[in-house]
Amino acid sequence: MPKKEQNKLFAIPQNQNKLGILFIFLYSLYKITRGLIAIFLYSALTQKLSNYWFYIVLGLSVLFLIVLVFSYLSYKNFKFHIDYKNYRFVLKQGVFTSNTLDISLQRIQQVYVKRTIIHRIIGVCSLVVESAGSSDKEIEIKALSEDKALALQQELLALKAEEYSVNKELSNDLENEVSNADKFEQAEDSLSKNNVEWTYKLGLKKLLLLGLTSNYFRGLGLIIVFISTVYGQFSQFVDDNPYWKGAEEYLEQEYTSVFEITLVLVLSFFILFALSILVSIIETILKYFELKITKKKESLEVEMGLKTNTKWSLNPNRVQIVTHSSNPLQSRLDLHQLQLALIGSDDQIKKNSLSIPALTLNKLLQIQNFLFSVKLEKGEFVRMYPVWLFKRLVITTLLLGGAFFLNYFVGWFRIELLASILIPVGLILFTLQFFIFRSSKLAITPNFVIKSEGVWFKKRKYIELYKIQAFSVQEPIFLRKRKLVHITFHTAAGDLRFNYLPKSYCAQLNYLLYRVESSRQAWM
Amino acid sequence: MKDFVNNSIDLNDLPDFESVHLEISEKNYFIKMVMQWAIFCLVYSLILLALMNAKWGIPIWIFKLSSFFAFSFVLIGVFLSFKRYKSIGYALRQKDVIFQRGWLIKKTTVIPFNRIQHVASKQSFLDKKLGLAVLRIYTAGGSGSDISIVGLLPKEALKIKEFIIQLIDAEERTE
Repeated sequence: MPKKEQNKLFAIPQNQNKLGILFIFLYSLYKITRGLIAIFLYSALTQKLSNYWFYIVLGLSVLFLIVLVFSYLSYKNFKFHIDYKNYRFVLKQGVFTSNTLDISLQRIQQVYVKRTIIHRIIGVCSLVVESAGSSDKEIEIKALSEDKALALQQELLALKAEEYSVNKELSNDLENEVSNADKFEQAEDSLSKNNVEWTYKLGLKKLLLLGLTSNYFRGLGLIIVFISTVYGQFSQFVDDNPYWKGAEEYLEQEYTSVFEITLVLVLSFFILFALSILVSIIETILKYFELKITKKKESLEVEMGLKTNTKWSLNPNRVQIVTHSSNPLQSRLDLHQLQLALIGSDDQIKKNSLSIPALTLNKLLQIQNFLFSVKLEKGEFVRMYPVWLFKRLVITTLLLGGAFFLNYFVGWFRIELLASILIPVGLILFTLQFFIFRSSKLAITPNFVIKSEGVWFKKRKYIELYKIQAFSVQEPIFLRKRKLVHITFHTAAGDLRFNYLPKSYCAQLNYLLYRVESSRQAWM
Repeated sequence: MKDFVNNSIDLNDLPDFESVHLEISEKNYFIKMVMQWAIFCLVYSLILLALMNAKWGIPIWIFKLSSFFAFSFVLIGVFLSFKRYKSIGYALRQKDVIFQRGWLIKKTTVIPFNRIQHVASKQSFLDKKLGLAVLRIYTAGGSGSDISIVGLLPKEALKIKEFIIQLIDAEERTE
């Protein structure tokens, strides 16, 4: 095949792009700076080290030199190539030691291009190869020119597909041979670049809308984490600082009346709220900047991110659970989010899930159609047994009653004040529980398990039946009399659980088993 | 969901995984759990004794309370072990393996053979002494769906392991 000859570029061991030295250098400096920034700031602010600046500069220059040598050696000793004979990707690395790593192409799970800010400045990108297995799951070639990275990505994926079909050919199953031909065609196709079916780009305006309608609690959480980290780093500086003490005294003297304290509290609440929105927007933009989806014949390419630009190439086989989420506000603006749980190299679900935000419903359905092997069908949903709702209401009532009871003995608040707060809170909790109950639904259709949940942030999860690995049925002792069970569906990328189902529903599981056991589709 | 209709298949015709007769575990498994409790309680009492002799001025009522706890631990431990031993059951069908365990929370897991990644039979020190083995079945679903069939005879464990491995191999060959 002439195509292959031309692609054997990667057969000889080779270095990264020369700019890789610069990249490793800058990246190491960045890491060192991040580690030492607290010390620098602290000493600069307290002026404790100002007498030693000569030594500091000397030390820093030595550090620079060491990092430079390290970067050069790290670049020089890093070599990679593809062993076409044995279908392996071979990598040599190490600064003083020498480390050889080789991965069977078959075990490669995912190959994607990543670009951090430093990458963008220098004009290179890195290629990440994830493989299945216990050790050395992820390798990163830190600096390649974009063309080369894409070529290598294509080459690795094509070879993987090719080997897959070669292996399959050994079997003489008639049914499989048809799909073999398909697979082979696909492998051939992926070598040619011009098979783009459609692309979808996310503009800044939509991104802003998305940030505005997203979950502000995340923003709030980020602020709290930020404040506590900064406070932890600078607490000593704060203790020593006369200005801070002055501010504390000022606060203690000036704000004494209840009205003023309330005003400050309300004001700071609003400021915090506004900040949360701002942080949410910024986070959204950082994460999803320049989102671009390219649909090719056999794969879906997703690229996004400002700080770290990552490009994924998605194969439907790797997607195990598909979640469609939105809230009423976003729904009105036609913003829908798709979250995909992927098989990855380790157990962490977070890392191996990919969120594609701000899709129009139309595009979302298009992507879903591509990911599912059969058309999505409607099913009949079941709810949790009403005992769940009853239990929740009892617990809420007990908690509220307990608060009144406690207050009766301790006497912190007057009973009217407590009642005027707790009774509305209780009512809100009651209605919330009711809505949670109403929105939680499960269906087992001929080809899917579908779960709906969420009051404001509505979610719908889909698992194709043949991707289920196993299921568990739990019967806690206190539900045994009522004949209620919890069911968990296990997939290779996480579990899906539904509680408080009548035991008679287990008959559906027999159907599920029948489907899994009679399925000849490869689940990955 | 009772009125769920499915044109191709009648749910009642499908084999029901809940009505399968489950094999129970070996009696020695109960003894093993009791021995584990005994070892735990022994270590606990030894620590108590050591502390009592250390003369750190720990008031005597703390020791009284702790001894009481130790005693109730023994009772609770034996009771729970018995309940757990009674709750364990497994069954092999033509196409899947069923494993049930737990008394407070009874959990039944079903793994189809064509989703098993690999099988291992294990023996701890106590297992060897008591003539027991554990069969661990791994799936791609991770710790959530992996099962350890406890309280087997080593011979049985080996037999089941061989049976499953041979099935997996056959599966792979036809694929």
